[in-house]
Amino acid sequence: MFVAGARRHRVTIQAGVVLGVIAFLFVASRINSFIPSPVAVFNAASDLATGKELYWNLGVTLYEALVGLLIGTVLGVSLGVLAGSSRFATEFFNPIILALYSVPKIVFLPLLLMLFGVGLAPKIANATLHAFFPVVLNSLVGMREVKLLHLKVARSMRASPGQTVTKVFLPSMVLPVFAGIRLGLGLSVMGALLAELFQANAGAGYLVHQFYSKGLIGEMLVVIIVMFILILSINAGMKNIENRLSRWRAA
Amino acid sequence: MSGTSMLRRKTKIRLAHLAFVSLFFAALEILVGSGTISELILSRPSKIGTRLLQDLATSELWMSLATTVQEVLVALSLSLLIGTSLGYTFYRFRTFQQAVEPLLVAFYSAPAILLYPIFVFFLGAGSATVITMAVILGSVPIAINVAVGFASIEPIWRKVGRSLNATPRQMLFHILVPAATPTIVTGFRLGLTFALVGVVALEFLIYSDGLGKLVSWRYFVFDTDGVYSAIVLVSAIAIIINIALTTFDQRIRRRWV
Amino acid sequence: MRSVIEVNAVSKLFADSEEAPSAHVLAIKHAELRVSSGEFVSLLGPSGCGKSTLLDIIGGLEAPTSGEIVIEGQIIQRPHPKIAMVFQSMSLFPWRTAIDNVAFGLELKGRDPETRRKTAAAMIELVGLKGFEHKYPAQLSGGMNQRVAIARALALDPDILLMDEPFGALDEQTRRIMGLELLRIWDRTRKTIVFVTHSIDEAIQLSDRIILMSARPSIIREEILVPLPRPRSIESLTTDIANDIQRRVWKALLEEVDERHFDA
Repeated sequence: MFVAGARRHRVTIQAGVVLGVIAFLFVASRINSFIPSPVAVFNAASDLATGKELYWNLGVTLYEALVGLLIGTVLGVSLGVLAGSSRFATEFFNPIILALYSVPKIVFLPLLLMLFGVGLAPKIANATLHAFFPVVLNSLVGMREVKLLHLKVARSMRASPGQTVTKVFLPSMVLPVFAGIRLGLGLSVMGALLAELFQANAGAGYLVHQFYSKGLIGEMLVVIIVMFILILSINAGMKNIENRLSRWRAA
Repeated sequence: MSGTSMLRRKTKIRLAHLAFVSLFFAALEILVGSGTISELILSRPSKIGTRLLQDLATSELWMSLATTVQEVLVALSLSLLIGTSLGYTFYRFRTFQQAVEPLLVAFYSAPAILLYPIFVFFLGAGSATVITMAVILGSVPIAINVAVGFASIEPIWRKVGRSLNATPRQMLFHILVPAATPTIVTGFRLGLTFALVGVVALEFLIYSDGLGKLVSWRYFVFDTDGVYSAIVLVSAIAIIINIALTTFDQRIRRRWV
Repeated sequence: MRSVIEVNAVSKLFADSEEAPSAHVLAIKHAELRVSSGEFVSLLGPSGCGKSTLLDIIGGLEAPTSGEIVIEGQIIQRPHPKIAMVFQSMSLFPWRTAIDNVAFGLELKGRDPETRRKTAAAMIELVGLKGFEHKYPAQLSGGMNQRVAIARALALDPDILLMDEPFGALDEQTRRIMGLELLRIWDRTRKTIVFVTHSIDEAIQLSDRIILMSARPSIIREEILVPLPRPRSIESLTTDIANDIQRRVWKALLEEVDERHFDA
């Protein structure tokens, strides 16, 4: 009963937020004609829904983001495992990684563009760059937090190094790494979008630019809204998986 | 005994870092100098260094720096204000947090940045837009951090407060805030990082005066050396600020825990 | 009777490790010990003395700085296959169910799934946890978790069980109950047990022989036989024999405190 009530409250608040945004849009459109009214946005949405433009460009951005996430995960887990493998490695790598994390990564875009040319590659590279950090940091922490006692148990039972890796390290690290990937997802989309906003001829960022330059603000908002819903859903899905994976935590 | 071996390890790490950075730049110098990496893609570190020194002598760089600093300070203050209030609200009203947080996280991590053209339309392609977007982008992570910080305060301290029938106001000022000081310090450090990132990103995208613009504009006019010089500069500033704040953060934590 | 465990002149010096950067700690000094097959022996001593370290050395997890360990006639340099260890709390893998935890050792050995399931189920029943096979450690109490840990150790049918304060993290009542449970299991399986504890009562309650260890650098001060009849019960601790042993142990402890005061 209690849980159901809380759930209902949550949904009510969320519905309230959505209504608030629509109301804000309505008021703003009255004040300034540049902003489209909710009706205009709705019309734009139905227009775009029937065409191919929206889906195609969203697909491009998602593709860039997901490939970037994939590469970022592979690199992040590899470095994270290496960095977490010993105290010296951690003390060596951690400050370097954290220092780079604090740099506004957008400034590396020109470098990526020069390196990878035009096309999808620099966007993927930027997505990778953004997704890399939460994954590597979480993998590092995951490695460090593998309990020494668990390793002792494996050793006392004469486990081979391979068995120790698969049966102690890996299961221990699944949750933190997955959490890192979940964080990395949002950032990889941001990375892809930023690259597109700077230089692109495809993708959601490109589409937004196009619509804006043609004064189609309604359409622009539709892209943003759809992107938002997409990310919300993917995030929720990943959270769900994460909850399933951590069933053993505190049941 | 333990002092010396710890000191020895710290020195070893510092030397390792130094060696790493030196080797990195030396390798780049060799690779680009020999032509393995084309000079069209990457300038030689020596050239970048020279250009950086030249830049430091110009007023252009210092004025850009000043603009960015001003924008960062304003964005930082506003996002700290908004973020902390929102974070505290999250902490006080769990349901509100559970409802709104996923929405905000989904929003800020991607689509938010796509709104900037609208702000450009209304506020122009200048500091106002830069600051506004940086505040929007920075407030959410700060809010989350603050909420987590408050929630992670030892439950026993909060229990003490409740058993003494403290009002929410008293709880906040006499228990939560002092206990959360380490989190607040970290939050400040995160806030500054986000503000810097947001400001530079917007300057970069809309070519608004500041360090970010230096990078994107120079790329636009094919000033390769200049681009890298600016990148190195921005990176160096960010890293130095981060190191300074992290050291400060660690000092505070040591005294608190 | 032949000794299954021989501790021959074992010393352990820790030099500048990660855990003890204040280098050069002599943990154990020249320990000598013989344990016979089927015996229940306790290593009793104050916290921080070398008893856990000695157990780790017997278990092959640490190498002695000097001296050697002989298990069933073989000098060991790594964990011996006929030895299983039980640690203090939180040694189970939280991501595995109880039965999967118990089957861990069998997995390492490469047994087929059916054998694993059968053996693990049997062990779970032996420690009195039938019905809880598919629970996760987080869903079980501390006492139950330790039972799973014991089952895990027994699954590989070891000859020797090394137990490092297995009930140390439990409350007093659970501790007593688990002690008697352990004796029940030991009675059925007749393993050799070396049991580390800092509780005098526990040592008297459970063992055939108490090895009294001093604080660091740890030496074996005394070996005390516990001639209490088996099966032991709660009343065993109230007998004259038990009181006598308690007095002897206390006397030894106080002597040590005096000695240390003289040195300091």
